Amino acid sequence: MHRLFHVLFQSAHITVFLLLEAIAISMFVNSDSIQSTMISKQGLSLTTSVHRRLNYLVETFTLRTTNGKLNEENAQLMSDNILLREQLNLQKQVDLITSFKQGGSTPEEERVLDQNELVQSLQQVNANQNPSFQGHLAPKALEQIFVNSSKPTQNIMQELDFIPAKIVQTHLDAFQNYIIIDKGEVDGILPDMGLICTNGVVGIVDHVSKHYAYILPLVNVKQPTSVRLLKSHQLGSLVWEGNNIYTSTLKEIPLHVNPQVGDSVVTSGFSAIFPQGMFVGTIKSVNLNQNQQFAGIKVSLAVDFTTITHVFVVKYSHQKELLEMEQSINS
Amino acid sequence: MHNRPFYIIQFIVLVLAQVFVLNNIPLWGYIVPMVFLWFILILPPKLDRNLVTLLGFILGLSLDFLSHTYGIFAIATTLVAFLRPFILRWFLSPDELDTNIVSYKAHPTAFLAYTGVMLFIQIFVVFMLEAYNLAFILPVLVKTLLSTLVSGLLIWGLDQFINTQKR
Repeated sequence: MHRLFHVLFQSAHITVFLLLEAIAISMFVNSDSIQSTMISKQGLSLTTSVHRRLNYLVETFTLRTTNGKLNEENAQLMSDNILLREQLNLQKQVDLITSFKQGGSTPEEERVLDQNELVQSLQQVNANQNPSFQGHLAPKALEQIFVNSSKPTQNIMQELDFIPAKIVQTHLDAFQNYIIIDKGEVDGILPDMGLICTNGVVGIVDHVSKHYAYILPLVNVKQPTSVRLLKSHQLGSLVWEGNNIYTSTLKEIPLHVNPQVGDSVVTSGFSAIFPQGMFVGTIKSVNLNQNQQFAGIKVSLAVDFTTITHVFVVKYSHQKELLEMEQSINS
Repeated sequence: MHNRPFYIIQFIVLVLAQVFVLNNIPLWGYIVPMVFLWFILILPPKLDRNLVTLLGFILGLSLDFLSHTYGIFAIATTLVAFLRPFILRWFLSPDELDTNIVSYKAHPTAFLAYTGVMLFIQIFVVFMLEAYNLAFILPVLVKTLLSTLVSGLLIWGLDQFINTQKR
């Protein structure tokens, strides 16, 4: 016993080192639970309020570029708005015609255009507007939707809500990257909600405190995201492999799907995190090695994480219900 | 040797700068300048080893709590603080270690080599723990090398600056 103490005293620095290292390692092993308790108990607001002040300072210098971007987005939204309004008017007119054809006529309805003329004017509208809308709203398909006018899209829109938020802090150069935004529990934000910006998908809410939320972006090694190829509808998993924050890796796409460079990758919509079909990125390179089961695909992400400032949290009205159900299944 | 208030102010400034500025400048997603290690680097070589290890632990812990990475910085910084005497002895002769100050001015090449090795160990451990997967060894090494280079340059600059101010 005496000798043991002697040895311990002789190598005191090793003992001290091992002791401190043991404390640190136990913290690291339990970091998930420490993180969630620390963050939910105001742990975020301590440093985050400082970050927020610093951000105000930075923002004043970048106002000009931010303003320019917002203006562009505004212009885009305005042109979309005009297009949609035109289509809404046309829909009303088509509705009137169909009711007219089924019988019952009023002088007002007689003045309405013939259906063929309608389709023609619709084509004109489409040609004048944003080319990206042309594919989606081919006149014939539209005609069908309008005539059999059940309104499935309306229900989806009622369930969805977008909460605007600002990014307070980003940490992007390591492996477990994170983003902190200035909206939290008070604003109705819950874990597992999606975060998007006007360019595409940003990430998923991991923890929330009262006024802030801690986001795991697409560029975090712990955050695989369920995605789909727009053309082939093939499901895959987007995994970030720590290389750089502009590209990510798409896994589980079988060789026979034959993905092409430039194809769009969108969200699958299988969970109540992101709506279906939100833009994630485009395929940058494809490696079709016949010896392997799946294709090796690199995706260049649509969002530039270094420049985003304004984001939206996607909120489903039934999110809480869904979470509770998942928890009850798991427990 | 610097006086005690210098070390205290240096500690606070470095931790705050690391958490609020350096961790938030995105450098192409590859580089995290870890300048805070400068605090451990320029502690007097004759300082009690246990104290150095303890200071390393406290430094890592403060960074962990301010940047929501519980344990990662504490593990890495405690390790380099513990290894410091060995690395110092590796690059500097006993006579040089008696001077009670390590800086670029006194021993340029030795100081740079010592800084490089310390930074490399620190940053490699931090990234490896963050990735927590051997499959990421290649990006971890790339990021470690780049970050070591940039951090080393920044520390060299800081050291130069402080020493010219003192004169």
